[in-house]
Amino acid sequence: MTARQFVFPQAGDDLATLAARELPDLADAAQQLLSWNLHLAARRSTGLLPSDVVFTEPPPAR
Amino acid sequence: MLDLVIRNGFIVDGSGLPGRNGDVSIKGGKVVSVGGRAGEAQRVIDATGRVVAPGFIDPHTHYDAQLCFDPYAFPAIEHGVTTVVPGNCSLSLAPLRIDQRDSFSRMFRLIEEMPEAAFDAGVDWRWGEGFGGWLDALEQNIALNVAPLVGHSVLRMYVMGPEAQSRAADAAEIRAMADLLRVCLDAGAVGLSTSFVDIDEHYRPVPSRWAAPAELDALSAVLGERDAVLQIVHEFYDTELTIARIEHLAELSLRHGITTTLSPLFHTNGNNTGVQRVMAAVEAARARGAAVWPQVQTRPIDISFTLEQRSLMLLTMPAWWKVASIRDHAEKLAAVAAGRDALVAEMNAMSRRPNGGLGAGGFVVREVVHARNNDLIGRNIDDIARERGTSHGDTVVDLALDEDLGTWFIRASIGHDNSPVVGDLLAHPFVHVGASDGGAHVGSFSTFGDTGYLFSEFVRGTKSLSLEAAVKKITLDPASIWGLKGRGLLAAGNAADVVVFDADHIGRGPEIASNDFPGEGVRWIRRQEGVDSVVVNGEVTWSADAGYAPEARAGVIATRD
Amino acid sequence: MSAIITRATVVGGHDGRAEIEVELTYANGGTSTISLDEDACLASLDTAGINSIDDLVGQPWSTVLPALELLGDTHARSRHS
Repeated sequence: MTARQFVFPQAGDDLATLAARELPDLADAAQQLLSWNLHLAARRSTGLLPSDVVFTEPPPAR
Repeated sequence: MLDLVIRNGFIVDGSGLPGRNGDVSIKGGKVVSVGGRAGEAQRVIDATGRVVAPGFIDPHTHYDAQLCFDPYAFPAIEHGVTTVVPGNCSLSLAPLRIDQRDSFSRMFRLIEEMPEAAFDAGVDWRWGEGFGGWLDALEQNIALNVAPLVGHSVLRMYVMGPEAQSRAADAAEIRAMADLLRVCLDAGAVGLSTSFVDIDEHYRPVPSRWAAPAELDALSAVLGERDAVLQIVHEFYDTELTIARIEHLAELSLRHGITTTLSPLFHTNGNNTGVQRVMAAVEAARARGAAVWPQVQTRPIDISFTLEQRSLMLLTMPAWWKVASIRDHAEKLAAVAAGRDALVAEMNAMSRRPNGGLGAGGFVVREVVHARNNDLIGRNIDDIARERGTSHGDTVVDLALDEDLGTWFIRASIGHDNSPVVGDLLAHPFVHVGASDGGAHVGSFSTFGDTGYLFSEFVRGTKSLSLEAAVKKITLDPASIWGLKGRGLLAAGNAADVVVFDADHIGRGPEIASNDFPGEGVRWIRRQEGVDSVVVNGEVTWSADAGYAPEARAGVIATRD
Repeated sequence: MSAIITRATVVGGHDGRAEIEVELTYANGGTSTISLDEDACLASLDTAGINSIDDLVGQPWSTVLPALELLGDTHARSRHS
């Protein structure tokens, strides 16, 4: 069993830059990314932390 | 002549093998013999009809502050606990610069819910700044063994100063942290703790959360050099994040040859598959050869609430919710009086729901405003109602009005309470029984007695574990995971940490308020049930007959192999 | 693809406070569970004008977003270990 695909942010990342890098072909990627990562929604001031897990796909269908 | 013989007990040695009758003899703080008939001794404990087991090991605690003013970590020892692991979740009292003490203290007190008065009265920082100094100071005055972790957040603070909480470290800072970690490990730390969830009193993520993966990787490499352990507190409320952290821990474990542990892992009935998926991830990691140990606590989760404030506990009762939402206190009280019929009816309806909201059977008075109501503390609302001849709802409203809504209640066992499922989880060979949080959350709930509860609920109750398996789970297993040399097993030459208990009666005891901490306010504790004697490094430190031995200070810093 | 709240239950939090466990179901059928602590949940309910957690069911995932964003700068209470 493997975890959902995830990445750690790179220096200077926010969800928009991370979405552009990881999901270049997906429309509205930043918003999609947010919907898959609600745990990051309360980060308006601190932004992404270097240790954050950021999922780059939705939960698997079961 | 031997120092101590524990005579004629049922020896459950921690190995998991079937118990057997015989004596355990002790001299010079070490076990001399296990089984058979031992010779004469200066002191004899008659253990006829009792279990004789290795002292219990509690792997997830925050006794850091309490041990500064309480060498017994009261009442941990009387429950049979002889070794504790403090310094979890990225926070240890050292290494820490003098000018960082205030900020660290505020962080620790908030995260671990330690009263300020108790912390300030007890923690005198007599050891200075270094980790070795802290251990030296501690070892002079402890009655149980301490296997300390060093906190990742304090390592960052020491090296980076205030910027520990605002950015990732550069290469030189990572090297400095690695060097400092080596010093701490060589001084006696058993590993490193880190946190991915905690915040400080300003709602800022703690320093460890600002570490990039490369930093944790470098520190894990140091752990690998010293065969030490990595502990994390992960996003335990989220299955997906938990699984991602397990995957990351597995990578670190394989890359650096380290043992890793994450805590806590809970079961909830609403998310029944969550724990199954987490354990599948653990099993997959183990199949790859990674050492990843999720810690599971034995006790269920209780929730405290008051009718004075909005609480999610009231959210299923619209009339109560409406009252609790009123800001003005006098107006709120008037609304309770005026809306009595509806409030009573709603509470009565809720009390009849078998598993919902404030369901009957688990709704207990925890704290009262007026001394005249002290006799209600610890009592179930239904019991009080029966005694008074009133309904459940009337009893609550009467009490609320009498106490200006200031009464605190407990809804017991609202999570991690499905004992057959939790029992199977605890019995899982890859589960590390722990996560007590001893020494933390002192004003919210008792962290004591989890070991007794393992036996009462999961050995005698659900029969999820045999007596021998349960003992192994809290003795040899943690000793092996944490590499605590010569502990966790009753064998000749090992440390004489021993607990004598009654397998038919050991339990966790009722939760009671205690005002024994420095400063004002109460904390919640449980006194032992069914324990006869506790021996730490050969010294009888607590017994049911004599209580705590006032001069007992046989605890040591328990080091890795 | 947007997620819908399919379950909201009061559960016991690790620190002795109540929490709401919210299950989200995505368009592909996948589900995830998040836990809102007391402050975040109450703010979400206020923001959405909801007086019962039962009313969260059927709402889009973004129902909880404004509250989380608001809390992020002010009094968000993360979990304590």
